[in-house]
Amino acid sequence: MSEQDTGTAAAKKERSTAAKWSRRGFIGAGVLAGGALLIGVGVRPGNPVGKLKATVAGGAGEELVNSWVKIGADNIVTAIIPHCEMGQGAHSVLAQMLADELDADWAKVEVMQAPADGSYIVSDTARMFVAPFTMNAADWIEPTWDGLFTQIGRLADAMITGGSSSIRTTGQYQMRIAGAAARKMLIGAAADEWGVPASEITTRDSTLIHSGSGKSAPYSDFAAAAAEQPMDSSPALKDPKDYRLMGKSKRRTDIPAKVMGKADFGIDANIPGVELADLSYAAVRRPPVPGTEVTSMDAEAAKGMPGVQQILNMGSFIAVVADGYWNAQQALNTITAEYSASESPIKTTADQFAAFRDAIDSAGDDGGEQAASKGDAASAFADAATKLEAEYSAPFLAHAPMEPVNCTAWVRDTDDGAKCDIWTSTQVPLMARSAAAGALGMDDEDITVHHPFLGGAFGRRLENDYVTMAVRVAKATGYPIKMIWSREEDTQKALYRPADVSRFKGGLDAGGKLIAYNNIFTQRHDPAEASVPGIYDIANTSVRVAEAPLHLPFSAWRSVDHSQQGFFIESFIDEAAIAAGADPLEYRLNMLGANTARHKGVLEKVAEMSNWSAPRGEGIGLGVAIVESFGTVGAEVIEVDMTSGGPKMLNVWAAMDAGYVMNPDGFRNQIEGGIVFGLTAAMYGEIELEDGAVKQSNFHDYQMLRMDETPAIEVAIINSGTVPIGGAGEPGTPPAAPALANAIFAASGKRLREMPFAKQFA
Amino acid sequence: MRKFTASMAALGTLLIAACGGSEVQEPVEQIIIAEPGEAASAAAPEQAAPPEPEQPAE
Repeated sequence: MSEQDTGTAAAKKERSTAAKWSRRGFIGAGVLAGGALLIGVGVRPGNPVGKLKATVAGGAGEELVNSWVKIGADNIVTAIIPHCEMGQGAHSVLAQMLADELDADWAKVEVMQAPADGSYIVSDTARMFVAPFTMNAADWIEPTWDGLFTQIGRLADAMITGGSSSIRTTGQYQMRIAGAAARKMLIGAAADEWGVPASEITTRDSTLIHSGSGKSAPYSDFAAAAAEQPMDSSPALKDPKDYRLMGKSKRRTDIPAKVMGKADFGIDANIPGVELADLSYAAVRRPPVPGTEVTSMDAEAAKGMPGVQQILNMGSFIAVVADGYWNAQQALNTITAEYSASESPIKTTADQFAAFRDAIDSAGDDGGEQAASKGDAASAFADAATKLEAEYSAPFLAHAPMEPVNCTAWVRDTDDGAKCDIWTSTQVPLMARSAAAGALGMDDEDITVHHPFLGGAFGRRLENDYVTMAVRVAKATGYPIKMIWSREEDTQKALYRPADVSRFKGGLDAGGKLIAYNNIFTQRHDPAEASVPGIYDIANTSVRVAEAPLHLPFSAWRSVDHSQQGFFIESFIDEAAIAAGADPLEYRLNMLGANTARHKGVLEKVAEMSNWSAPRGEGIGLGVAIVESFGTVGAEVIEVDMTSGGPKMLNVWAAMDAGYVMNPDGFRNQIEGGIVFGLTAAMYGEIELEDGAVKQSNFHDYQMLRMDETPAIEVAIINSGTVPIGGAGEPGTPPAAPALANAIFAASGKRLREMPFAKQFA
Repeated sequence: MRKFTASMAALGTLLIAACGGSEVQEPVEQIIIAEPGEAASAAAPEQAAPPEPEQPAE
């Protein structure tokens, strides 16, 4: 792997924006309790201080916690992280950012998952998502934006992990400021006590130092006094040359527990006071066709099955509660049921794609919603020297996280009224709380969500369908249940990355330049710009969306619309390059439009990494694709060997520019994972419809890329200094499929316009 | 403005999807065969210790 560039240009840009990052007004008051200094971030007047104490103050000697960072009497710094940890490493990097600004001893930094509480909304994530143009607003308007999005965040239960946003929003705009503010308070307290100017005190490894007097002390000695210091909501942030932890590949805090088998995931939930052997389990079955209901069930056989406690027809699903998951699922398997008729005219995969094509045909040459327009694409196409027409398609996809969908719930009456506790793996704990409240007819404050590690999510755990099901069963039984979905249930009855068809008409001038780009497709969800080829200078562009019915419910899937649009756009650009008789990588470089220095940089880097211009052997080819997504520009080259008839992937080279990378090893980890995720979808991913239901059921027919099929992957990081910085979780995925398709063409002359690819070589 | 509107709509879609339905639905049919173990009515989770922090990084 190549080393990151920490050149002076990046440092200058980072420095020039530091002042803007530090003028945010969301830091509240420090709170002292039990020898712990507690820095409130995002805590404003009126927050429920007392409730937080009971939730997060559990360590020895701690009496109160009401913040995102605490310094204990043992000099341990604990970062309380509002985002979930689903394998992406955000817990560690966010702690790294806070600890660096605090000058904390990394060996004495701990991480705690923030509870599902409104004090831990990630308002800057919501802000980045909804209104990214406000992220570096002028001083006079900043408090207004900050206040507005805090309120929006609370109303929207915006405690959310998604959009590749944790580091670039919460990390940059909240964790760093929390650390810097705490450091300044500690220095102020020491200056008062020692009778020296604050400017003469330095910090290092959780220690305060005054060289002139020879005095030094651990942070913990001044924790109490520091809490009495005024809070600076605009502390100076470090210059990149002073980073000690940021930009470094520090080890992840969650790995030891996972390696040792001590980490708790949602499915490991234990209810306090309930012996594991006494816990009841629920297995569930939804109707096979979306939008239908259970009209009747025959459960006679199940009644006599071992361990069965209850059998429930919940209308929208059937549940069997038993003394163990196996017994519950075995009994459920014996139940037959009748379901209501579906109103959807779509019964098969062919029906779904026919609906897409009908919508596109109906839109004609100028119908549908205009997503982007420039020049006169129709006239330019008519006059073009060379005309290209192509249609691409992508199937429905399931998320298939390793940890099965599950939720443990207990609904009970107490002296204080009805209460509900939920233990589940979720990307949206406060939304899970609201969903449960709605399903139970209870208030949010009567519901507590416990959310440990997630065993993968990829967008699946942004949904709360399984939470509402679990609390409904728990309410009906009156005792706690752990609901676990079978793999078959999650493959067949969940929410999906939508399928789509995208049709292109392109025109080249006599010199081979693409001068007309006319595109229409049917599925637009998020991000809005995913379907726009904005990085290219094309004089005449028309991008339209035709409305079409979608049989399976939508869910965000790693990189969302970029996952299809990356394949559509970058395949078509490749076809244009071939039609022009040009080298595909050079063609892209020559087409880049304004403000594309980063795009040029990643293309040139990936060309160098892959030795792009060097001839390959017969049947071996290279393909390239470039996609900007979630603030990161990524180019990938794939080398494929077609000599055995089907694609054998040899190498993937990826050059990624996220502006500045906070943890290079973690970043590479995410890009590598995103590439494997994208290649899995490209080669095998397909959810098909039969009789209105999902055909695939488990990993035998919804295949993952195997270890022996996975190519060597090399990731280069380019720190261009662009701000806001970009994300890591998703940008590796979109270029993978088009780069592979383009490589297969280069090696074999076979142009793949439909995903997935493997079956086209069977 | 188009981008802003689209972003707002996308967030709204996400939030609606994430929050799920708000209609309280009772079981259509409930067959009770046996009761779970006695221990299931034990201590309330409020008495539980909070989650342990992750271990120091290195």
